[in-house]
Amino acid sequence: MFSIIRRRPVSQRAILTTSLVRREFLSNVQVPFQDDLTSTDFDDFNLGDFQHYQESPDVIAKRYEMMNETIPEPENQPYISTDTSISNLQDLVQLKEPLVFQSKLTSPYLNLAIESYIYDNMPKPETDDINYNRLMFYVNSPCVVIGKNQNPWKEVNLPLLTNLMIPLVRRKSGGGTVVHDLGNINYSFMTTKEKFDRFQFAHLVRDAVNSSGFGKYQLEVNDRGDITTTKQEDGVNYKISGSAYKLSRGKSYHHGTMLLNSRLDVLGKLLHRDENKLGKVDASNVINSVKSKVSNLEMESDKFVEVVSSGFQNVYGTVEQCNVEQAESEEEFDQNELFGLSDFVSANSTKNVKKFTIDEMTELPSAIVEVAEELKTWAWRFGSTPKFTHELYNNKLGFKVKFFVGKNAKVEGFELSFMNFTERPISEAKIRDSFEYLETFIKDNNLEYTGSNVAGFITNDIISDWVGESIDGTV
Amino acid sequence: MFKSVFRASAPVTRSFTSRVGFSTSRIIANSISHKLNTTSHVYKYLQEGPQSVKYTAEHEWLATHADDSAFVGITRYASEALGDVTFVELPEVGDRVEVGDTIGSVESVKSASEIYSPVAGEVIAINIALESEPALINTDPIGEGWIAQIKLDDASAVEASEELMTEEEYDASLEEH
Repeated sequence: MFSIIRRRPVSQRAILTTSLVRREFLSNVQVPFQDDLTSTDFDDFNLGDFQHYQESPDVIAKRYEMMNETIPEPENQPYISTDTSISNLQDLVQLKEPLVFQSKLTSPYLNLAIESYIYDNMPKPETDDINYNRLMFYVNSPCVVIGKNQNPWKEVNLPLLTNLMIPLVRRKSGGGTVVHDLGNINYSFMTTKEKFDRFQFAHLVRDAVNSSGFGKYQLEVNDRGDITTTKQEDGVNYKISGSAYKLSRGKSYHHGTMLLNSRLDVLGKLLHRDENKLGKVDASNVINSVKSKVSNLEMESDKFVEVVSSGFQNVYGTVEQCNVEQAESEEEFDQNELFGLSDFVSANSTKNVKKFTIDEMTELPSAIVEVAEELKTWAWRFGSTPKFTHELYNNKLGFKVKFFVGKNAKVEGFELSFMNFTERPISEAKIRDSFEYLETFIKDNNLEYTGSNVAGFITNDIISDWVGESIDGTV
Repeated sequence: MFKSVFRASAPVTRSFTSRVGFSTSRIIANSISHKLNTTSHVYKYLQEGPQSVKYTAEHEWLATHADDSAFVGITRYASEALGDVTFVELPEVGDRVEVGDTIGSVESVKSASEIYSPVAGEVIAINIALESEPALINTDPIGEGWIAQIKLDDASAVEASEELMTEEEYDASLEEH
């Protein structure tokens, strides 16, 4: 796994004295007279004198230049093994070493299912001092993601989502509602339950981004574990990333959504609900989102993955001894010296972590597809909302209707109340009439609380359209 | 689990602020009592009180009564590590559970935490009070903060279980960290 390519710049002495050794490792660097002469060449072609060939300063300079092009510094290339084609995800997720995964898929359901799969299959370290931590990155196509115990009718402008055909997704971790689009990136840090810490990974992200210098802002972590900007001139710490957590038997994860170049204008609209139009949702037992002012970090997504992976690698990576070091004492000359690797070997703080990319070519285990299908169901996304009431106000017709929504988001009943209107476009009796069929139906049947379901049982078209539109924009 | 909580040695905090995390809360292991609240419903359910109170490595407690039913909840240690509980997901009466099945979850400070059943049986009661007052898990975790009552398939399995710990064993397991 360790590769010599990661070394520090080679000392000039090493360059000048070890051309034969060097040749093996820098064969990709082709400069004039950087020849691969063998003793056969010397004899057959009478080229023996070239043994004494020394590069001119110009050639040396050129070599340095080319080396710098082809061999980036460790800072620019933080991880070593990037296996772009995963043939067998089942085996990989069980590897007993820390791993980084990056999904190139953009389906929120698939990505959440892959995250779940990696989490569920993460092995438990045998001892305290080793870790099999996982870090996963994924970017989702536009969607709104609510926390495990939230109410979508309360958190989200559902009619607008319906209009824009943006899916509503429910995740398995706690916390509040976030908007995903291709301009943000999600990170997910998985570790044991013993090592669970709300702040540790947020601090790692903060430090990695701050020291990279690639972000628009310097970052901080607040009391809630959110990553924010430092206090700006207007006195606000703008939120860049929220955090949510899940704890299960023996394991835990911390994931978050990092705003890099998201459409913040759209984000705001999707989460804004005008109660006059969309009604008032009440629930005693539910998790409410905390609204925060947000901003984009304006960092390239790949750059973010790189610096955070690098941070993960530095903290959790496995230290691997390179075989150069093992040979050290037996050799008559110090290979590390020759390679200019002394610093590297002695520092030894350099750690490795394997990184895998999941893309369209990756064969997904059926367990992932099953979980993704489950996440797509109405029963999970909407049906697992704790019971609530939803009151709609019709100012034109002068009445209110309050729906009582019970377990599995089934309509249990409703209540009509009328304001004092002198002249009603539709009479109170007619309005009551139009709800009669609905009342009869829900007495004996389960009715999932969707706009089109409820509207379908309201006999007056104007009222029916208005109810469907207000509930979720489906009529 | 929650090992990191024990690194600190500052006085016990009983304030469940959002700052409380697994590594930032300041709890001393031996300062936490894991005794069942004797004034709670869990204790008074039968006149003679529970026959035994056991604990799991996943920080659940189990109070078994003479009618072969048992109350399940999470320990004070777990509730303090989790911080302010803002939502409790309960099982349904009539649910069948096996050892290790999820019987609910608690949400605290943006964390969804699974609760596992230490026993096999049928859920015969759930603590509806938690729906309106999830903080009971913080104020009285081993008492009024109970989560479910389970009719045991096999009451002798509780005594025979090697997974279930006595209070002394549980406290000792926490000190080990």
